[in-house]
Amino acid sequence: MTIEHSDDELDRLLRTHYHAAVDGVTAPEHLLRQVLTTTEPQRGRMARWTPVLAFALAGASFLIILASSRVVEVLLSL
Amino acid sequence: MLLDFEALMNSCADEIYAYLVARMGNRFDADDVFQSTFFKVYHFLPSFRGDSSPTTWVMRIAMNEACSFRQRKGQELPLLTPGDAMPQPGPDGAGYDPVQAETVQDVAAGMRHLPGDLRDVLYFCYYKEMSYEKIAELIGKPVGTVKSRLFRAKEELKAFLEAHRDHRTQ
Repeated sequence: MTIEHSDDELDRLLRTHYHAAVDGVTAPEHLLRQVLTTTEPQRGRMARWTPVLAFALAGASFLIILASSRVVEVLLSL
Repeated sequence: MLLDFEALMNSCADEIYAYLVARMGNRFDADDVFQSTFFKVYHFLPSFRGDSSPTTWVMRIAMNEACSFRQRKGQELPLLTPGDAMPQPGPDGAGYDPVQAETVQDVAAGMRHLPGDLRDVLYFCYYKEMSYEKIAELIGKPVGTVKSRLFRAKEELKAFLEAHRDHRTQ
């Protein structure tokens, strides 16, 4: 015997499956922690360079200001 | 576009995980693909240009990872594992509907029988109730392709369920 599945019945079956198997599924905490732990060393390595970069940037800014003030001084003396 | 990885993962983890459980059919594979998805997200996050929403971008990566996982592995674990997503009887048998359990099992088996591209369209259309246009944008195909895939998915699923039921009634 063959039972024809109408679209309505398929809708119902899919919804039953959805509510039983998929609805309300959340990512397990341990999985999120695992991903974060694995990517942590890489993020840590980047973080280690942040103060060095900030210091270099501050130094470069200081030199630029120094150079421009010297240029102004030279221009004024002309 | 500067996005914080942890904030991005927390904002879409549940949506991606639910998709992967439905797509892979079991939580073991879903766990594996979830991790590889977010490793890729982490790796490519600096090059994310913001052409789509971050969640759509992550979902696309998850779809690709699910697809390549199946190709890599060749076969998947049989059906949903008990205790993961299947309705189970309580200690006193309360809250357990054997007919519903059988239905869920049949549909799960039917879904697993479908090729990945058809399963995706069925999932986004029926489970996420997305419009054809939104699905087309997500999978990067025209709306016509979405409609034809949905039609094929429904036909194949119906055929599977009918064959399954015939087999059971014999």
